[in-house]
Amino acid sequence: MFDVQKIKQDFSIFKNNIDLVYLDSAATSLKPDVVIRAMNEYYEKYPYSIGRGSYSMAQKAVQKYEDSRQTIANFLNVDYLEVIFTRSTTSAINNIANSLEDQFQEGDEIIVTNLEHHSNFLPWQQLSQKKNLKLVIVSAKNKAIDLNDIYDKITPRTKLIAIHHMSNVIGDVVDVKELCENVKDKDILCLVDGAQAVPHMQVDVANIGCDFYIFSGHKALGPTGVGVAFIKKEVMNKLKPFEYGGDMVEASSVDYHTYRPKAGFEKFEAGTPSIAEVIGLGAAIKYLKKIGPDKIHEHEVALKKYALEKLKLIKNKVTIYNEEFENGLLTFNINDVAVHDAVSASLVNEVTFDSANIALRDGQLCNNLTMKYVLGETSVLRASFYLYNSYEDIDALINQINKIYDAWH
Amino acid sequence: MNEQELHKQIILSHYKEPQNKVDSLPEGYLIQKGVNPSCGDELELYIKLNGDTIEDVKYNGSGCSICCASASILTQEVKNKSIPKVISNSHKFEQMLKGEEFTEDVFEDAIAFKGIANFPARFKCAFLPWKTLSDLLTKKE
Repeated sequence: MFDVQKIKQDFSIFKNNIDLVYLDSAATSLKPDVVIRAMNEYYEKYPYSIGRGSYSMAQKAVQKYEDSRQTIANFLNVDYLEVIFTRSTTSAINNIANSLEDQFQEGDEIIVTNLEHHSNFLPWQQLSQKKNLKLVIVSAKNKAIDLNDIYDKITPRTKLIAIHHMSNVIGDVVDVKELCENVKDKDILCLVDGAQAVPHMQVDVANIGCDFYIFSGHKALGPTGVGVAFIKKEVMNKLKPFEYGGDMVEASSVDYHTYRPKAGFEKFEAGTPSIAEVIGLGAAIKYLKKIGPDKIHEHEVALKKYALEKLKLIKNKVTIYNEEFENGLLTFNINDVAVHDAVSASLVNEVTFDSANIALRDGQLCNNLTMKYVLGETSVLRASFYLYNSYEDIDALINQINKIYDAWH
Repeated sequence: MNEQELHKQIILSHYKEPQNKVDSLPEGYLIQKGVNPSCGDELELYIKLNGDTIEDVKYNGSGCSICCASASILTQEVKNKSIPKVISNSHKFEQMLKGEEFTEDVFEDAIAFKGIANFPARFKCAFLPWKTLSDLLTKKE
């Protein structure tokens, strides 16, 4: 039995906003108190820089920071040296795209799909335009990616495949392990955007076998301002550093610099990092692991199933776009009600999700490709479920859908 | 009917029965596109100029009630007005939406959006049609 009421006690937000119905975790998750405490503890008890001073007080900060790296390495089943802290998924993918620049020649090809979030599309579009590469876009079939459509697009010039693990609008899960296995002999790099996957399913990156795996802290119960980029050791050697600055070189002078010998992540973490946030993310991942991503996934699927049963009774009032996918995302529209009118009040509408203290996402979800080419819509509503959501939250959602529909009809 | 209720009725009537809404670009009209990327309001304004006078404006698009009604009302408000006058009115409309002081008597139905000042999240919706038109007219000026 998944005890939501017990879980809610771990999140102070539910004490501060008692009636909160939070259905926007795919945008950003709420943060358990253990995460906030871990960050506060850093600032209150050992707020020192890491990797610089040799005084003993700073050692605790170093130890906690590196403990987080080890926690995340264990969680993803990768080597500690392969875990790089970045600002976010967006920042990580942009940095990787920039670092790869010298690896690609004019006419080389990058494959993406039309289910990608902007953060895993625009950096590749940008790089392709800059270096005259061919950006090949694989279209979803029945709102998901058929791997054969990717294989069909591979040519001798294909250098990289950038793909989501779980998409942010539909929530389809790509079999990235099979994809990586099938292309591993072809000298093609595989980058997996795991921003939506890591918070909601058990991810074994070593087993997937990709070259890059990225996720954000803030969607996985952690703080904003920190993300993780796994980069395979062999691939790290080919890449330029993301940035240049302190704490990354072994030696430097007016006309040269060399990177630290057993570098791994060090080559990619110039400057003082977000120390508190990294420590907070470590606490988040420990919490996530304790509850169990697979159990969370089961809970989300059960909530969605319950919501779909309820929505069947009012099927003339709503259009659902991802009914067939087992996940915690419910992407829909209330028929003949503009999404902004459903969410946000004005002088002509008082009944909204907002007025019922329900937080959910409206608009294009940072994913114009899916909106335009897969769903054929200009905007949608998305309710996303997570470990702290209850069946009562679903009842509140359905109740408000009814009220909003009735207010406009 | 109090003023607030009257304004509500004006907006809803334009939303439900939009004026000068067409399916595609009419011949002899200029086109200007406007979007609110976060919420999905999408608009195309079709503008017919005669010298520095706006002879006619039509539109096509989709979005929320506020954005659609504002587009419909705009097409009526700017007809047969000069470009400088419309740019000036657009500025006054913006001031009204933001709750700043403005000259009321320049507007007809557009006055209905006065209350948007209490809903700052909807400013972008109401202003999109006017901003889109201003973008084109400023280029022309």
